[in-house]
Amino acid sequence: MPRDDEDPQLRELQRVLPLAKLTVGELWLKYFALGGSAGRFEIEAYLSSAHLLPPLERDLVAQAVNEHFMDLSVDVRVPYSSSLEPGEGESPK
Amino acid sequence: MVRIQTGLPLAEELVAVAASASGMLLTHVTVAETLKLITSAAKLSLPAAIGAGVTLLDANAHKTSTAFSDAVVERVDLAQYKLEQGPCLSAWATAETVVVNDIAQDTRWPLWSRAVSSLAVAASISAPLLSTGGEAFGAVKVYSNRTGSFDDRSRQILELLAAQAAVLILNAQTRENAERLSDDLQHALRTRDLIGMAKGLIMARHGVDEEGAIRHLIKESANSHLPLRTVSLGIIEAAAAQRS
Repeated sequence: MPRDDEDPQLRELQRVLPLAKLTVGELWLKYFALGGSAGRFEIEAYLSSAHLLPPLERDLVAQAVNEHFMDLSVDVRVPYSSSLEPGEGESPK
Repeated sequence: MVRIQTGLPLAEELVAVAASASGMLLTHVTVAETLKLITSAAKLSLPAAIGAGVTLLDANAHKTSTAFSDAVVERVDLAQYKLEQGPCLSAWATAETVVVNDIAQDTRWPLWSRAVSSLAVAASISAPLLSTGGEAFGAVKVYSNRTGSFDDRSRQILELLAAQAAVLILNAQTRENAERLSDDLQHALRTRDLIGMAKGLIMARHGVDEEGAIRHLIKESANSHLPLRTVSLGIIEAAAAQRS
């Protein structure tokens, strides 16, 4: 898979991650708790732009970080992928 | 598109956690209990001792935990960490044993010597606690109320004791970390369960696939500023209430 340095979601995640003060292991466990299925090593590689994740897995990483910010009462959120925007993403009823 | 995941994900991660957790079953001695044990052993092994203590330090010389045999040791020791100087900090910083024959006359830590001059301590010996990599992570110290109480023999004894103590402490720390990890993992698995249940309910209710269901939950979480676990619990409880 090609590198995707232009992914705004990942760029924002990399920017705010230092504020979260989470180790990769801690972040992975939170992501795993939310139903994530990528391994810890894959998450580490994704965070350093060395590995691509499917949109849903990326959104679960974003969600894990966002929930941590909710816990800390910090008003920072990582954006979700565009397929989460209203009107998209959900399969037909 | 149906995207159902089969098999247990992340088997490797879970196996590692289970393996580290099973080590805990052998013995349940905590770090705090280990430190107390070492403190009494140190006091008993040097006849001139009036008290002993153990302090663990992190990489920034911040005290992480500590144990004392006697109140006087606690006061003498507290002064070191408050003033940021003293034989134990030197033993930790240099990874070498430090012997003080006469605390009042010694010029290496003038602030500390003055601060403890009113206390009944005259001599001290501090041995570093070393990791397998040779890095100091704390110190064991013994105090005496007579000057010149500690010689080369005392140094040998305390260094032997410190070497044993380091192994005990590192083992106890590993166990405590594994225990904490296992608690965190249990919580993570429960959360994963709850979210899984909520996903199933949403799939049935809205006729969406698994991915559609998790997106639905994420959207609800973003709108309500509540974590997925809480959102899922709400959905599960509502469904349970409907049945009853």
